[in-house]
Amino acid sequence: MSREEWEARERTRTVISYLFSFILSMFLLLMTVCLASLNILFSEGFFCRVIGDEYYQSVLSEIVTQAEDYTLPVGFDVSVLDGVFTIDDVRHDVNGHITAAYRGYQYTPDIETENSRLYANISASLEEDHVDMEGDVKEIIDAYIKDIDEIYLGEVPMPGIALIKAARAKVRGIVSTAAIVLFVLSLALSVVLVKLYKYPHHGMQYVTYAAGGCTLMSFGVPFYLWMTRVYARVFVTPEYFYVFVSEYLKQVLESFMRISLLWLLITVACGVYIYLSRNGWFEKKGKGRWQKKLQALRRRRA
Amino acid sequence: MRKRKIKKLPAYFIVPVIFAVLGYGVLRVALTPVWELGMAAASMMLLEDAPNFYPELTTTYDPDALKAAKTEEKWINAADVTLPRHGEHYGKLMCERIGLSAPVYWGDENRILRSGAGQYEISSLPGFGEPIIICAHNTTFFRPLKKAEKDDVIVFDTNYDTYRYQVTEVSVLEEKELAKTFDTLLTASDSEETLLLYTCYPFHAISGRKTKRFCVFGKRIEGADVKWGA
Repeated sequence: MSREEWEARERTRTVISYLFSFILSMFLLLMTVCLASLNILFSEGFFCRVIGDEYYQSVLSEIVTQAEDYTLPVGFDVSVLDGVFTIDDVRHDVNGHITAAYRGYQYTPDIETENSRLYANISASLEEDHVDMEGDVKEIIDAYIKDIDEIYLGEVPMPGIALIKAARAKVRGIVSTAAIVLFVLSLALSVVLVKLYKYPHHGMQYVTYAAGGCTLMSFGVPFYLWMTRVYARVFVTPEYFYVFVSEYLKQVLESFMRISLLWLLITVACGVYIYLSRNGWFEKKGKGRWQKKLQALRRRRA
Repeated sequence: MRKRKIKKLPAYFIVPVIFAVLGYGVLRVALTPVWELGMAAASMMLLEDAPNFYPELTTTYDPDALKAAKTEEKWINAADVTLPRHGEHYGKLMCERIGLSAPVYWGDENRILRSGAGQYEISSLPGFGEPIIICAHNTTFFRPLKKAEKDDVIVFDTNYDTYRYQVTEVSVLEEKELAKTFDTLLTASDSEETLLLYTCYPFHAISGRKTKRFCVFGKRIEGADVKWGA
């Protein structure tokens, strides 16, 4: 083979290596997005971690505020709502709805206890005012309790939970399959890149480029969105849901950035491997040493 | 040899950067339809800054404030009147005979009605010669209205002047009738300065969902006109 031919072959191999390396970086990025989606966006555990007591407290406050605003014109004193709804009830029912959405069943809160507390408070209040709870008054009380129930049942399910349920049902399977396919393709491309060269560390440098590219791509956008505080500018109502959504988005971005740090570690590890290989570190202690000894033995015999 | 190794080192930084730029470019082109949809959705959902859901109710009402200087013709230049912002306490309604004493806020949402009487923002401020529509809960600030009668005098104090309104009519209207009354008052071209105070009816404690409104109408009998001066 002439020198020109050899140089042309080397150039072609380099171009193919860069191309494969770029494709590999894209595969790695897409695989990262798929895995992150499965572990973050569709994860019940992650979702529940973001919800803190502050959320339950806000939902409770919203329910009480709405109930009070409804109570005032009806004519009852707002004290009839004292102790009717507790943070434990709210926590139980909010989580019940979330778990049901993630596991694909219907959840209906049991509000008998709350109703009996409300009824007891109204009775006590009317007893003080010497009002009989019969006839029209009884009907008004029943209608009032029903309306307060509606307020509670309307506020307890997290807004948008149905969307999560639908997205999880439709997208999860596709994302899981895509993640597996991308993993296999990435592995195949990495093997091809390594096998293109006589020494594995020559091919590994292109795998390292791909891992580095993936690190930057998976870090860049989340970091930009995190820096510009996009999560805080999302407009959703009511306020407690906004607080949850912004915190959720913030933690999703931070998780994506953490995943990209994992790629950074892989990139560094690849770099270290290449450095050590180039310096014959593995050769001295691996099979190369025995090959050299065998070659020397054959030479002596010959 | 060592020099060659050092020369290769920047490639580990430059190539990934080039890949990242190219990768974003490829994704941008490949996802153009989704991108445009996403950007349109983002523009609808993203604000310039973090939203302020419930700005604090504020007050600018100062009962001891010096009233605005009146002209020789006894009118106040509108430029001297500070227009209230939403959720701002800017005046006070009083009627000694019936025991009415309610702070007046600009706006009439639930949050405001917990703190006082709320003014329908389409209506006008006192002195401008246009209708003033104010509501409050019948169990709190407007509870005394049930004792209101024709010819009672209601005082509406603001920072720029004190206005007096004589009650001309007390009536109970259905919600729909009240809405029509609003329209009539607000669209009449020659409307005079009418004060309309309304609250839920009936007043007695347990009445369930209330569809009737107790209305008190009054006409201005004292207080300076507010006009846009030359």
